[in-house]
Amino acid sequence: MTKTSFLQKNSVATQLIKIVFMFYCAVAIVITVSQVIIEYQYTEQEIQDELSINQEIFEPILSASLWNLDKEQIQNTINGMYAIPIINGIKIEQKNKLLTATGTIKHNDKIIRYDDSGSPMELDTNTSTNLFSFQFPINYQFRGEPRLVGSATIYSSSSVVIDRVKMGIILLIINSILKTIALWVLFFWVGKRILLEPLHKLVDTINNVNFKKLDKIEIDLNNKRENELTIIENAFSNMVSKLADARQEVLNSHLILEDKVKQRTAELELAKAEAELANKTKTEFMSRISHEFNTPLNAIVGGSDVLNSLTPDDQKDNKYLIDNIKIAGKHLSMLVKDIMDVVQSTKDEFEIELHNCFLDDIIESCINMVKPLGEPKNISIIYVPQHAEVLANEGRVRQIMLHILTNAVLYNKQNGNIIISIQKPNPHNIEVHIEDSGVGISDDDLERIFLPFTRLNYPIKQCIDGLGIGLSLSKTLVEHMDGKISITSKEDIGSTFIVSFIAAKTATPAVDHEKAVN
Amino acid sequence: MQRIAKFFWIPLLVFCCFSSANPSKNQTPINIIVNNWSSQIVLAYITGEILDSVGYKTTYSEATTNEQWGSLSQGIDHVQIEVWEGTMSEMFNRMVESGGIIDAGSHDAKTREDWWYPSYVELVCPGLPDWQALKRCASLFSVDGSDVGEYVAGPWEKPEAARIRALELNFSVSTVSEADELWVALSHARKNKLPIVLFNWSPNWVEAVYDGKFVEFPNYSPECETDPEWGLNPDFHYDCGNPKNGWLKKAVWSKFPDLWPCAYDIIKNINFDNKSIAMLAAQVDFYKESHRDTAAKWVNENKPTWKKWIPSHCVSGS
Repeated sequence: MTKTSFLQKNSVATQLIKIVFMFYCAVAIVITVSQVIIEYQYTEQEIQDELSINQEIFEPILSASLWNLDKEQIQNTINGMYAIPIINGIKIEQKNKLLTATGTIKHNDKIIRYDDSGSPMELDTNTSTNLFSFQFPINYQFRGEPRLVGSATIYSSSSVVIDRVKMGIILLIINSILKTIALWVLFFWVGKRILLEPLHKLVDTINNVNFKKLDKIEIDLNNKRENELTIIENAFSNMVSKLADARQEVLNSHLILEDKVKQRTAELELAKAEAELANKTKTEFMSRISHEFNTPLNAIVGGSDVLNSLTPDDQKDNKYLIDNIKIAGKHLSMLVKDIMDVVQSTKDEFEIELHNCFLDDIIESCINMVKPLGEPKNISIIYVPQHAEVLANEGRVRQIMLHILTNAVLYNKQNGNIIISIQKPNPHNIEVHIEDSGVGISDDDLERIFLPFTRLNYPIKQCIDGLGIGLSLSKTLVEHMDGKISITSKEDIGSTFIVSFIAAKTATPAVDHEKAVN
Repeated sequence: MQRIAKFFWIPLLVFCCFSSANPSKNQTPINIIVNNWSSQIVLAYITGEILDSVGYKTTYSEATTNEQWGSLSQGIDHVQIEVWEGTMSEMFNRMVESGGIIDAGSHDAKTREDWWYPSYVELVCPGLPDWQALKRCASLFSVDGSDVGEYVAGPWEKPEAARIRALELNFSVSTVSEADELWVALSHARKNKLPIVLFNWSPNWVEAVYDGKFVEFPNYSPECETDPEWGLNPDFHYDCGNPKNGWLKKAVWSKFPDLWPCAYDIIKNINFDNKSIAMLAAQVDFYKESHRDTAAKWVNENKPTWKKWIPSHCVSGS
């Protein structure tokens, strides 16, 4: 459908004209039908009145005929009456008995038609011609007194009424139709000139608006009078003018923005270069730091091992100092490693190699490593091996477990406990739950506990060592292994860390037996 | 004991007399129709006096010959003592067939209504009483000097104009408004010996006083009135005269015998001949007696005659 035909079909003006026309048709039909009905009823009453006039005309003739029982005269009279167009039948009765009749009459609730030969034929009342009648007594004036000699009933029917009103109704209907057509044509012609054409012109102008040449758009609806279309015309022109101004502003803003973007881009590029330089410097620095720190630390740890082996067992104080040196060295080594990992994990190229790992081995080794830390507080660590196998990196898993278990020990209470369990929430994931009976974490601290270099107030106040990078690093490592880490905690009650790994496809189901590791 | 018996016997006798008597007569008045010609009026009064004599109540109601049939058949009037065949047979037969009236028998009198002329007219119009003589003599009967004769008709509807047309008579009809005017015209013509032909009937007073004859038209037949092809003129009805020797009947309302059975029997017996009726009419029309007096005089002078009309059971019966 072309745009023009679409507009012609769906335009508001066309719809308006159609609605008005339909409404007018409905009203016209109602009025016309009402007029027809009223006309019919009026005509029926008129015919009824005309029937009654026949009493004055024919009663004297009929009365004399009935008085003298002159059936021939009676029949002639009613035949003459029957010739009157509105009369369909006449019935003459004498002493309630049918004396004679002609045409179509009703007698004893039966419709009887008399044919040309005068023979009666009973008609089906269902097909009756809707008779109505006027009955009058026939009185003969004898010696100054009216003497009832019989009665006459004159019948007419709806067909007579219809015949009379037919032409009038036809003319009425034709009149209504002609008026409707004329009104429609006039309305449509006037509407087209006053409304449709200006609206189409407006629509065309709107459709042809070229935003690049707004200042050249002009609209002329060819309105001869000030009316709503004039308002629309002026409003449209104002709108176009403002649109042109706005466009110009936009263009100007665009130019300014482009300049600013260019400037900002240059600044960002400079910042990027500086950041890259800084990152490169940082990486080189960290590599050098790692090398500079790891080399002496390895020497310290290695040396402490040699020194320990050379120190006799009875030199407990020396043994103790050597152990402390070793522990400090390992601790420093681990810190350096962690710092390196934090730095490395920020790089895009940081990758972790994944393979099937048995959680039992990892967790048990980590338990063994942190157990000494918990001995002063008599902290028990409970784990039931589940023979769970995950798709991860063994070293990283151990690193994560160590961080969490270390925290669980450091922040636990005297005679506290740590419960480690394995859960399978679905076939694709395996969760490690580490629940401690520690000091717990507040809700505010829970939101920032995984941020790097974040230390809570408790460990600071309690002088517990740490850089605040363990949980941050654990979260990064877990996410690199397509896992998740989360925590729930209640202050003074404890915390539960949940670390979720991808279940290995060849992982064996967990064995359901308990083994307390203390 | 005998006194006691006598005491009972007399009332018993009286009781028996009264119990054996027939019930009293219906006192509902019997309406007797009175028309406008003398014989009928006098006969009506005679009938009334006879019925009164046996204990009935009678009244008299004037009616035209046109209207009387309706009143008779509806029981408004009850008795018509003179029904002339010539002019009333159609209605009479119609009413009898409809069951509205009953034929109460015929008088001995024979009726005739037709054109009549005084005998002296034959002198100037030879050929009479043959109707064809009128064709030749039409101008003699003219009253305005033309060649068109005048026929003086009575105030009753008769097919005179139809007859004139059918028989091609050169006559016009002059209708009087009262019967007396006929006799005025006749008297004037007689006095001046003028030819006159007028409506007359028998039995009538005229035949009792004047000498004259009826014009002899072609004999009547019912087809004369219904079939134009019948008769001399195939194009018209009434190419004939009125019936001769017509009957003169009596008619009563159909319920009359039930209400007044004895009166019905009396009326059936009432019988007049031509001479009697002519004399009665002459008493009124010629001798100018009143109808009432004429009737009373006749009743008074003819008791043996009318007493015989009263059945024995009607003397004191219903």
